[in-house]
Amino acid sequence: MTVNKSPTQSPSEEGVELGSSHSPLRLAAGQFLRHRLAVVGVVLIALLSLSAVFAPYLTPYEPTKLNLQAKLSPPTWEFPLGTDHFGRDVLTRMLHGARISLLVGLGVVIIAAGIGTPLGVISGFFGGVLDNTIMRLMDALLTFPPLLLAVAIMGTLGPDTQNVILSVGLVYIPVFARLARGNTLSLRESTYVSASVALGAPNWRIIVLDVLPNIIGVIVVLVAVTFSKAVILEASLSFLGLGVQPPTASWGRDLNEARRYIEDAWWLAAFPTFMIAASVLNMNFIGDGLRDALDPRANK
Amino acid sequence: MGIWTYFLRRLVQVPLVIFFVSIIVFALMKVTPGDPVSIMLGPYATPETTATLKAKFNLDRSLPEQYLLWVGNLLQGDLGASIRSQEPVTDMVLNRFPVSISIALMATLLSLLIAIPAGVLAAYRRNSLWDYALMGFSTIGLSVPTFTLALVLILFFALKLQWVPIAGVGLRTLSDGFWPFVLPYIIPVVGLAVTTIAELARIVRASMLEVLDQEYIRVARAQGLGNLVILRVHALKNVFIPIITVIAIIFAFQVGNTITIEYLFSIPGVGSALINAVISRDFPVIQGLTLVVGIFFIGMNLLADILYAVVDPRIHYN
Repeated sequence: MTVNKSPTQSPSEEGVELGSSHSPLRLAAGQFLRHRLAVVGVVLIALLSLSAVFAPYLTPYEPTKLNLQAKLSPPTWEFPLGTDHFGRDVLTRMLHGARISLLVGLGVVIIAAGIGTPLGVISGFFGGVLDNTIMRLMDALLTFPPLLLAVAIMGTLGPDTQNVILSVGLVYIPVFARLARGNTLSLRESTYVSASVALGAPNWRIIVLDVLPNIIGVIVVLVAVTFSKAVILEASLSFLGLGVQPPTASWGRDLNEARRYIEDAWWLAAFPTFMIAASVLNMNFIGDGLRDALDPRANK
Repeated sequence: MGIWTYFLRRLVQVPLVIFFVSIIVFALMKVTPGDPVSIMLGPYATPETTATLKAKFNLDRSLPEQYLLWVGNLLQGDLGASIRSQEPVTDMVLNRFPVSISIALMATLLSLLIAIPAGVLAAYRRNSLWDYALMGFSTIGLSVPTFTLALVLILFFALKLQWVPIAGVGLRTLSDGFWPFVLPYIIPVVGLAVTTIAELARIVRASMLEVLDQEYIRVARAQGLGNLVILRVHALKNVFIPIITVIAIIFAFQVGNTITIEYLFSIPGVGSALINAVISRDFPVIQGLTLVVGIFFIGMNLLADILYAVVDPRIHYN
C-alpha cells in the first residue's frame, strides 16, 4: 500500500493529486474492505446486533420466565442451546444478553468519546493551566486498572445496568482525552492551522473545521477498541455480581450462575463464554481493519 | 539533561499525581447518590445512630474540611475502618496485599518464561506454522476475559482430572508441605497469565522482527555467522530492552486483574476484599483500598519509567 490516505495530510494536496472520485473516505473504505477478517467481523457483529434487536421474535421463549419442568435440559431440538437451572432457554438468554452487551458498549463509547474527545481537544488547543489541570486529572484516572476503577465506581453508584454504562464510560474518558489532546497538539503546529489563525479565524471555527475532521479517524479506531473492552468489562462486572442484576440476561452474570453446574451442565458455561469471546474477537478484527484504514501511523 | 536530573524531575511529580489520585478517590465517595450513611445502615437506621455515624465520618463538616481530615489520618497511616467488621483498613491492606502481590508476581514470571521464547521463536521462524499458531492463540487469548479462561481450567484440571484443588490459596503455609501449598496456586496463576502471555508474546515477536531487520544483523549474516550465534550474541540483547520496560506494567496489570480470579477462587487478597466491600457498600473500605491500589500503580509507573531510562540510553528525557 503506497497510496497515502492520511487524514492529517493537507487537504489541498490531496485534492490536486487524487481528484474527487478518490475521497479520503472512499480510500479508507477500500483499505478496510481489503482487510478480510475485518469484513467478517462487520458481518458477524451486524448479525449479532440484528438478532439482539429482534431477540423477542426469534425464539418462542421469554428470557426471564421460569419453566421448572424443563430445567437443566441439554441442547435438544426444542431448546437448541439447552436450558438453565430455572428452565429458561439458553439461546433466548444469549440473544437478550447480546442486547445488554451491545447497549453497554454503545453507551460507554458515547460517554467516553463524547466527553473525552472535547476535553482532550480543548486541553491540547488552549494549553496552559486548563490543559495541566485536565490532563493531571486524566492521568490520575489512568493510574487505576480499568476493572478495579469500574468496581470502585460501582461501589458508590450501586449495582445496576445503567451504572455499569456510567462507570465503564468514566473509566475510558481519559483514554479518549489523551489521544485527542496528542493529536490536537500536533495539528496546532500544522501549516493550515497557522494559516487559519493568520486569516483571523475564531478558535471555535479552527477546532470545528480544521482540528476535529483530522482527528476523527483515530477517534473512530479508539471507539472500536473501547467497544470491545466495554463488553469485557460489563461481563466481568456482571460476573462479579456488581453489574447487571438478575433476572436480566447478561453473558457475564449467566456465567457466574453456570459455575454451580459446570460439571453437569456444560452448555450453561460454554455458550456465554463463546458469546463473549466471539463478539470481542470480531470487534477486535473490526478495530484492526479500522486502524489500517484510518490511522496513518499504523500503516505497516 | 542527565539521567539523574530526569529521575529527580520524575520523582517530584509523584506527590502531585498522588494528590490528584486522592482527590479522585475522595470525590468517588462523595458522588454516591443518596445519603451514604443511610445506605450503610440500611432500613434499621435510627436518628441517633445516623447522627453518630455522620459525626464519626465527619460527614457533618464541609467538603474541604472532610478532605483535610481524611488526608491527615492517611498521613498517620490510618485508612479508616470497616463499618461491617470494624477491622482497620490498614490491617486489611497489610494482610491481603501480599497475597495479591504474590499471585501477580507468579503470573508475571510465568508469562515471561513462556512468552519470551515463544515470541522469539515466532519471529525467528516468521510465517511458519508455529508463528501462525502463536499469533492465533494470542489473538484469541486477548479476546477472552480472564475469568472465563479460569473457568475452563477449573472444569478440566480440577473437576475432570482432579489434578489440582479449586480453593486453598492463602489457607496453607509451606509448613503443610510443598505440594499442598503450591497446588492451589496453579489454576489461578495460569488463568491470570494467559492474557499477558498473549500480549507479551506479541511484543516480543514484534521487537524481535524489528531487530532482525537491522543492518548489523544483516552484516553479521553477511560475515557468515550462524543463525544461533546471531540470535544469541546480537539480537536477544536488544530484544530485552522493550521487554524489561513492560515487566513493571505487566506486573501491575496482573495485580489489577487478580480481582476476578480472587473472587472465583475465594483468595483472600485485596481484590476479593474490594468486591465484598462493594457488595456490602462498606465505603471506608472501598475508599481505603482504592487509594492504596492507586498509589501502588503510581509506584509501578514510576518504576517502569526508571527502568526504561536505565536500559535504553537512546531515550530523550523531557
